[in-house]
Amino acid sequence: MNIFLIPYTWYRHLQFGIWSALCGLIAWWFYLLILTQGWMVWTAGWDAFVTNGLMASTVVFGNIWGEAALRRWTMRRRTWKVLLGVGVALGISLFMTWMWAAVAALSLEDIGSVHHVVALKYRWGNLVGTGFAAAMGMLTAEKWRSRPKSFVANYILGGLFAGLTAGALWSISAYYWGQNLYWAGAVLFVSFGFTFGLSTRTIPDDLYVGWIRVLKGARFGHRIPIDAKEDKPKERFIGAYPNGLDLFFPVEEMVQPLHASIVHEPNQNRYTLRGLTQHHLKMVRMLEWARINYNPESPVPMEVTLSNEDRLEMGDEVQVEFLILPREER
Amino acid sequence: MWALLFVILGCVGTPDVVPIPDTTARIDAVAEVNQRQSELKLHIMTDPEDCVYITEDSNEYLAEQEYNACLPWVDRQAGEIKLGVRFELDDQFYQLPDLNDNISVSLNDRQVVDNASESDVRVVGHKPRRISQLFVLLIDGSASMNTKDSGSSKTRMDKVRDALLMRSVQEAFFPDDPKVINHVLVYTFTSGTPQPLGGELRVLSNKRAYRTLIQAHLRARAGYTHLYDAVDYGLNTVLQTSEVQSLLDGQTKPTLVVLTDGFNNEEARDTCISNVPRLQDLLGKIRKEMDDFAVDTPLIFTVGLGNPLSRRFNPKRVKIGRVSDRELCAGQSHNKLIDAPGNQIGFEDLFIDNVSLELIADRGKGRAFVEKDAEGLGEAFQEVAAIRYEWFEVMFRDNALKFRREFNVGLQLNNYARAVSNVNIYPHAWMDGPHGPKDSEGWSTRGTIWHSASILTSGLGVLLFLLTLGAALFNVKRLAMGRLHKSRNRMGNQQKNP
Repeated sequence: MNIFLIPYTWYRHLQFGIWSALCGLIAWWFYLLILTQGWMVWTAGWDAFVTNGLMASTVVFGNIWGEAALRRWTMRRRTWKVLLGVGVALGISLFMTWMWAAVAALSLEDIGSVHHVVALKYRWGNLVGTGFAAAMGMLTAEKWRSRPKSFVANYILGGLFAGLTAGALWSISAYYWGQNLYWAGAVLFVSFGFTFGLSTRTIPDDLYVGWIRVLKGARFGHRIPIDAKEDKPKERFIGAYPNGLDLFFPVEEMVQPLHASIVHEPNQNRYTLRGLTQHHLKMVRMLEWARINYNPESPVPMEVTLSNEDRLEMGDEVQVEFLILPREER
Repeated sequence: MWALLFVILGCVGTPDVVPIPDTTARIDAVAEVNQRQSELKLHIMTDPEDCVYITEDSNEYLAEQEYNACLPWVDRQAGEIKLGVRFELDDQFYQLPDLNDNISVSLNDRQVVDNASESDVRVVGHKPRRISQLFVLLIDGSASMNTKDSGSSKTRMDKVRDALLMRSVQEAFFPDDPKVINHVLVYTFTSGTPQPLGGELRVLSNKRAYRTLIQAHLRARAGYTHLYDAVDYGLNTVLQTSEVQSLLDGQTKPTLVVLTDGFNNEEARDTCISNVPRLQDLLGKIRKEMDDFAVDTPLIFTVGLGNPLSRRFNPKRVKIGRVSDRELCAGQSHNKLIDAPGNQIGFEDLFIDNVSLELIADRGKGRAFVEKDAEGLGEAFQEVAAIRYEWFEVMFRDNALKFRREFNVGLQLNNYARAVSNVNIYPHAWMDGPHGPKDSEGWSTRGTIWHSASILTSGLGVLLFLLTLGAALFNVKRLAMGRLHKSRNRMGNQQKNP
């Protein structure tokens, strides 16, 4: 996971899913290695726990380590977070495995207690438990302060969704794609990782920051960040004053002394363009545009919310773009 | 704490199972041998140590192949199971001939039917060995052997002679292997005591003497077919003679081969029913002889020439001492004479008593063959002197869905001796190992971890590509939209950035 390789597009929401799937695939292979090369030292009664615990702990490890890489945590911090998350995930996996075994023994027919039966009917409880264990593992390693309360529900529901989805795909692949559990095993690990990562996590917005970059004009390529810190809004001004403004344009390019400003509200992660001149100022994006020249009859300047890669026309000759890039970008 | 709990609970009640290499399944460490129903111990090799032991005297390349063939194998996609088995008598290896079609397999107590579509059974012998054998050939010399069957210009005895003189049969009786010392005694029987071919007992030890004797003296005589008496004589008289006993050194297997073209027929008024008590009596004697099954216990093979009376007869279904009219006569008229006078048609004119032959061979730990021509007879004789194998690979396939929980595989030897064993296999509920390509006969071969490694590397490649795809698409899009290059800038202002 490298923040420089993750642009601020819709695709960033898939990154943790893909990353967790990758971790799941590696875990599947190592698990297969253990099973097939004679290192299966536990009894059949532990198969469910080993499988589910490995799935949950792998996904927790992948997600914590992935975030650690994005945020450049120290090795010490990432190690104890991983140990805590994985430990909790394994513990809850163990608890959930035996709880499901008890439920199966009490409420399902005798076959439900047999460790070797391949049937989603007798296994879905294990998979739900795996999702719950992974969610709890992540929650213990997360920072709770300043998080909306819904993030707990998000993790738990995401975990359950991941467990059920992986179970469904595992079962379908074992019956319709190959009549065996070789490919289905890989599908189980990969799909659990992908759905868990997809449904519970995304790249945090605070790792990105808005930039204004000159597209057209004498100062092509020049760019400035609109990087609010300490949760306070920040406003950047653009105009023709050679001094005192955040982004300066030569007056020959018909940019007004105080042409526009962009405000960043970090709590809502919103960037707003304000028109401060009566001269040409237009925001353009695909199938959409907005003129926000200052209207002298209005008591306040006109505003428009900016999205990544919006283009701004200033005067007749200057164009800038609004870009959201990793905060570390320089 | 978790680790401690894991270890403690993991060790509690550990069943005696071992993992099957290259699969995710487990198997009983020791297969259960049904002692009550077994004369030979059918040892299913579940432990890799067993396979190391049986392959240790092979060369390196062969040993690896044999080792892999010996290990158990489960392929749930193909619905195939493979087990390595060997037979033991008094803790010594007991070699047997090719057992294809001679081992029946059951899955959870239901027999796997060898129908080649959904289910199939295949047995492959390994480590071929020639063993020294003393063959006692008891050939029917009754008048019926002079009969020329329709569509044939040769008498039945001519066919027998041709078969016995086939090069492959001679090679089977007298192999060129200097370690194998075989002997052949030839008798013919009609009424009364069987007679040595040529009038006096000759122990044949080479091809030339054998060929000369067969060519010079094998002729049909007159008289009835005292088949049961001949078997009894061979078993209890010929094998007890001093000449024969001197040849049995403990390593030589006495093998009785009885050839006939009809029914046991001792008197003109004999019907099928007449043979019931006689056969019962003979089987009792054979059973007594076989009770102390040992390496030098004789084997009895029977060879019939003609059309079998009952094609579907299964000797295993006849309980010991319970031969009935219905079974022996195969639903035919009980009062019908075996050898009808004049132009009347008797049993012997239409059929051969394969029921008796099957029962005698079954109780005598051998096999029964019914053939119609010299070639078929030749193959039967070769089978009698077949190569023995030290161990066998038993493969079977069935509906793959039957392997979705633990299952029991039962193996039963159908000929030569009683041997029954079974073993439980415990597949993994979540995962399967890789399976290899199919062999030339369509059976799955052992997979290796490299197959899954190839999936891992290609999967990692795809996922890493997807991880960077977002950045690549973003940059390509910006490049296409002209946001990265100044050259696309129509303003053309060349001032440098500060």
